[in-house]
Amino acid sequence: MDDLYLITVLSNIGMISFIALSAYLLLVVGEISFGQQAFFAVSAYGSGIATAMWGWPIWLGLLWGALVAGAAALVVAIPTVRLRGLYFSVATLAFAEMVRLIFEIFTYQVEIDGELVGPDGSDGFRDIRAIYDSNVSAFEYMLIIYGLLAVVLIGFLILERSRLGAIFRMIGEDPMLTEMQGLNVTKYKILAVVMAGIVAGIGGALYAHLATYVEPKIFNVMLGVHALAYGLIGGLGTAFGPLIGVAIDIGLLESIRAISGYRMIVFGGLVALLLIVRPRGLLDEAAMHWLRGRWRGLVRAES
Amino acid sequence: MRTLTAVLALSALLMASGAALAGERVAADVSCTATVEKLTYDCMIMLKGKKSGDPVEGAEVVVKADMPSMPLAHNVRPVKAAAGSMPGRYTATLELEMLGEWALTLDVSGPTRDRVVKKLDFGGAADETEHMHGEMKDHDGDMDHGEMKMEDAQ
Repeated sequence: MDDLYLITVLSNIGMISFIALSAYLLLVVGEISFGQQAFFAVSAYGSGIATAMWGWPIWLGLLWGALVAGAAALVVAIPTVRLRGLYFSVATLAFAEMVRLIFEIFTYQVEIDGELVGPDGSDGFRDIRAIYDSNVSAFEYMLIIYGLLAVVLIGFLILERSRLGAIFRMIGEDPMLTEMQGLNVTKYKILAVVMAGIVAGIGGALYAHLATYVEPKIFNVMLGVHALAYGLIGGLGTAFGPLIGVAIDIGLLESIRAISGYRMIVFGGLVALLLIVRPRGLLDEAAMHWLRGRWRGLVRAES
Repeated sequence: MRTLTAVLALSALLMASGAALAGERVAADVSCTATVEKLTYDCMIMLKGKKSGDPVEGAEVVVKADMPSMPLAHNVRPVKAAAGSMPGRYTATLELEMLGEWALTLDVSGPTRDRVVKKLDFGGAADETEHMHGEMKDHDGDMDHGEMKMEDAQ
């Protein structure tokens, strides 16, 4: 049972890392989104429908879920990225709540082997069993989660060293100055929102297939706020920042059983404290600059 | 990079392979009673074949709990249920982290393999004040003595 518990905790850390990375990408371009859970939800339902109801293979279901989430993000991005600051945050929150409420009434079921399968409003969507029926063990599924997370993380690290990554950071620093460089800020922001939607979507699809059951309540604002907080805790200087935030919340606080029941209170306090002393998180841009300098110095000394 | 390639190859293989295991689907009834320990519940699980109605005997049942309103936030230790006094009956003791609605995932293996998710409301002020007596409200506000009812079928 201890092994299963550990695998569950590690799988949870892996899955929530996707939505944390998704919120982080938007923080990099200077936008605070309270609505990344919407894309997590859209993909969870979309991929679940594809595999459980349409009989698609799991890899195609995951891809479909991520693409549907990306499409939903595009729909949100076009009218909202011109909004600034708090207005964008409120718009994303409103969209996420709208998605959740739509799933509360969304019913689409088909009969498979004598059982009704599919979303049934607030009763949720049961029997998303593509992974379960394929007899994939919890450990093997954890490897799938971390395999995909590694791919996404490598993508982020490549992005950070690319021209696009530099433009994203420039927009985050000063959108007006970026515009004056002849760059179309709106276009790049839309791209960032869509990319963030796809990343959250991968997490949502993985979650639905691990849990085999989803319901609208899962995708409430709590998930979005946590996703945002992970980046703010871990730091906005690198894509490893939000992963550190997730590890602190789920890993460290969970391991201290004495406070596990009060974790949300401790977590909230931690976010508040860090926003005061390190507003851009533990691994902020300055910390990363210092670490990279130290690393280069070490490499030079070695050679 | 080689390790990453190996992990990805394994992932692709796992996704592509594996035949569904046949067997009758399982229907479950779960009722939980508060114990004297705070947030600790004794749960009785009745398993039977969904179509035949026959009790599922000799199964291994692992119970996991998650809070739908706080997904991935609570990692309650999975508990292996013990066989009870009647055919198809199993018992498990759950240690939860807070009151509220929980989704219990029952992983059944052995003579048949299935996963059943049941939602249960461990809840409210009544539980806090009356847990010594195991008396609490269910979703409809009716009083149940010593047990909580399932919100829905599987």
